[in-house]
This record gives sequence, C-alpha cells and structure tokens, in this order.
Amino acid sequence: MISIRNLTKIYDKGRTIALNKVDLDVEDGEFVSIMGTSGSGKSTLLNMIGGLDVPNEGTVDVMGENLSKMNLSRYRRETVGFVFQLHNLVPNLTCVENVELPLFGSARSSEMKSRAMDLLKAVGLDQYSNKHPNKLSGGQMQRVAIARALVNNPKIILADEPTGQLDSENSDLIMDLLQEKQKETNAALIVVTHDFEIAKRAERIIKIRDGQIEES
Amino acid sequence: MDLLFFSFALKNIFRNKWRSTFIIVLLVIGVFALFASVTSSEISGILLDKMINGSIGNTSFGDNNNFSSLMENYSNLDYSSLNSSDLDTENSSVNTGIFANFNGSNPLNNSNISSIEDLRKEMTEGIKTLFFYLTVFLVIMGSLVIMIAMLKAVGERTREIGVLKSIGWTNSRVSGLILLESIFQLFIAWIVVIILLLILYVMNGQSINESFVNTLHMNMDIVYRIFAITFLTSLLVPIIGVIIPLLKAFRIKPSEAMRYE
Repeated sequence: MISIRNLTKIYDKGRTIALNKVDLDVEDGEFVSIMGTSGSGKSTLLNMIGGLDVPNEGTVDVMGENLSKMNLSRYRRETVGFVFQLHNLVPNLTCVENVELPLFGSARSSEMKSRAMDLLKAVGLDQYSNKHPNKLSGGQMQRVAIARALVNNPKIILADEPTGQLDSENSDLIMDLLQEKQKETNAALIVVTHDFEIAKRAERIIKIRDGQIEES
Repeated sequence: MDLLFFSFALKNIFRNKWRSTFIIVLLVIGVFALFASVTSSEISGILLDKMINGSIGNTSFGDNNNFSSLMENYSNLDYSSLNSSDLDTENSSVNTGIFANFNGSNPLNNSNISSIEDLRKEMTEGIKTLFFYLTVFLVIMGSLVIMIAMLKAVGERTREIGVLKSIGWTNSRVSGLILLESIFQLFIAWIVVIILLLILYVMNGQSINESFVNTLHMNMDIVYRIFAITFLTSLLVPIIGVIIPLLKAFRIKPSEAMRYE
C-alpha cells in the first residue's frame, strides 16, 4: 500500500534534518502508530505520506505510484483523510458544511449533503449538523474532524496526535471511532502520538528519533 | 460551481464584520468616485457638443446660440489687459481648460490652434485625457486598498487555507473563493451606491429623467452607458486588488500552514 524508501527531509537550508533516509512499508488495512519526542520527525513523516510536503530525497509510493509524479491535490482529496491535533474546522461553516468541504467539485450538492449527514450520524453528531464548531466541545469537534476525514472514503487515514487536546475518556472514544471506521473501510491507519496507551492499540508501533526509525 | 461555495464566500465576508465594512465603505467611495468621473466625462462631452451646435437645456450662448459666435466675441476682446479671472464667469465651462491660464494672450492666436474645430478637439481630448487619468488613478488607489485589506485577510486565514489544501482543495479553488469574496463585497458596495443615489434623487425632488436626461438633453442610453462603464471599471478594482493576495495564498504550503498560529 505505502512504500517509503530513503526518505530525507531537510529544513533551514541544511541545518535541520527532519527525516534521515527513512524506509517504511504499510499494508492495506494496517494500523500503525508512530511515536517519538517533539521534533523527532514523526509529523514530517506523516506530512510526506499525506502529500502535504515534498521530500528532498527518497520516494513515497502509494499503491505502486510515486507521489512526486501524482497530482497532490487530487491525491489528498481522493486517497487520504487527515485528522489533525487541533481539529482545524472552519469556524464560520456549520458541522455538516465542514464535513462536505473535501467533496467540493467531486460530488453533487445533494450527494455531498447526504454523505456528510451519514458520517455525522456515524460519529453520533447528526443532531449538531447545523451548529457551528464553536458550539461544540473539544471531543465533539474532533469527531466532526473525523467525519470530514472519512467523507471521501479514503484508503489512507492519517491522524496527527488526534487525541492530543482531549481527556482520556474522549481520547478512547475518538480512537474507538477511528479504528471502527478503519476496519469498515479496510483503510491503512497511521496515527502519530505521544501517548503509549493510544499507540499500543496499533498492530505495529514505530519509534522515531532524530529523523530515523529506531524500532518497528 | 456549488451553492455551498457561494455560501462559504458569503459567510467569510460576514465573519470579520469590521474588515468587511471597511472594505465595502472604501469600495462605495471608489465606485462613487468612478461614477462621478465617468458622469463628468460624459457630461463634458455633451456640453462641448451642445456649445458648438446650439443650446444646452435653458442655457443659451449669445444671440446665435452658437459656440462659434461666442468664440468670435472672445477673439475681438483686447486680451492684453485681461487675466483669466476677467473672463465671462457666466459661462464657467468655457473658463476652464486652455482659457484658464491664457494670461494676456489670445488663445485663438495660439499657433497650435488654427480653428474653432481644432480648439474643440483639443478641449475634448484634454477633458477625456484628464478623466482617463483620474479613472486610472482611482482604480489603482482602490486596488491598493483592497490589496492591503485582502493581504491581511489571507494572512489571518493562512491556517484555514492550509486546511483546505490539505483536504484536497486546489490553488484555483482557493483563489476562486478569495476572488468571489472580493466580488461579493463589490456587489454589496454597488447596492449601497445605488441606494444612496436613489436617496439623493428623492431628496432632490427630481427623477433621474428630470435631473439627468432633460436638463442635459441626455438620453437614457447615455445614463445606461455611464452605469455600464462605471460597473465594468469598478470590477477591475477587486480583481487587481486580489492578485498579490492570491499569489500569497498559492504559495502557502499545507504543512507550514498547519504550524501557523
């Protein structure tokens, strides 16, 4: 599914090596967690897989295709679902409109609405569909963000510290939801986390340090 | 284009009410200034035309109602003892342009002006050039103001633009959203301008027909033309104004925008 070879990312004109010759493979439907200290390169690795950043060296192949040769906007829209630490919902759109955002231009209005409502129902927030994010709790906002990440039926779900701002009860709820949806769709799920309790839910834990994979 | 896209652009306008109000007020002033500039240019053309060929409404120009005879009267004056302030103040429109600074010399003896026809052409060209530069100036100033406001708006929304790109929005879609917001603001400004114009006419106790069309012998085609030229020119303002903010939005990398606070 995902094949990473010799991936290197350098910032600040060579002063910071965020990733140093990383190799990694992730299979279809696999749940992988990435752990590491701040600045170890785990979010950079996630961004490379998600096509949010481009490497200085090395390759990321997804389903046999090199990311550098793909239309990255299309790849992000059709293949990847992103969940961020800070939910990153658009404040002046309602919950259902936020969930519809990734479908702009690829689905009809009625279809967009229906798919977004289905997802909101799946995360237990259909009654909040017309509310704005600022009316919701942190956990509820993260559930809306998960609905948005899943609305395009992604083959890869990437979550960057999805529970970083939540208490343990909400963290469990969010992780249960992500795993449930991952199993339903057989998507690859890659979660970056500091929290070992979250990480150990995964089939495989990857530890990263100073831009290099320490153990897998 | 989806309805949600329009709704998104509209909601973005009303998200920051102060900034939007500021932009809309500036656009209203800009549209008014453009409107005044285009209207003055059109009226000046009509005035010149009527001065040469006859009367303007109830205003007459000497016994023959003719610009040529008026100019003959001027040419018979002893200019050596006169200054621009001594010219006939009733026909103020004639006291402008090349007459304003003749200071002691007969403008009709100027070697560049061989006939009344040349004079008319020169005055018409002068007025047209003046209003052209005025309009260009207004478009540039309006665009600069819109650009600064939109640059700030794009800067404030760096993270949001990054999120939109991270979920698959293309640069063209993001820039379409910003441009649409700007055009919506222009439409709101236009509605305000039209309401203000209507209020002015009502307060003046005249209809557009009475004040514009009858007094200046304009037909409605000219009124429509004034509105059309002003509208098309004012469209340039937000389009030029958002070019640099759009380039800034283009360059925003999703991964960097995510770290933006």
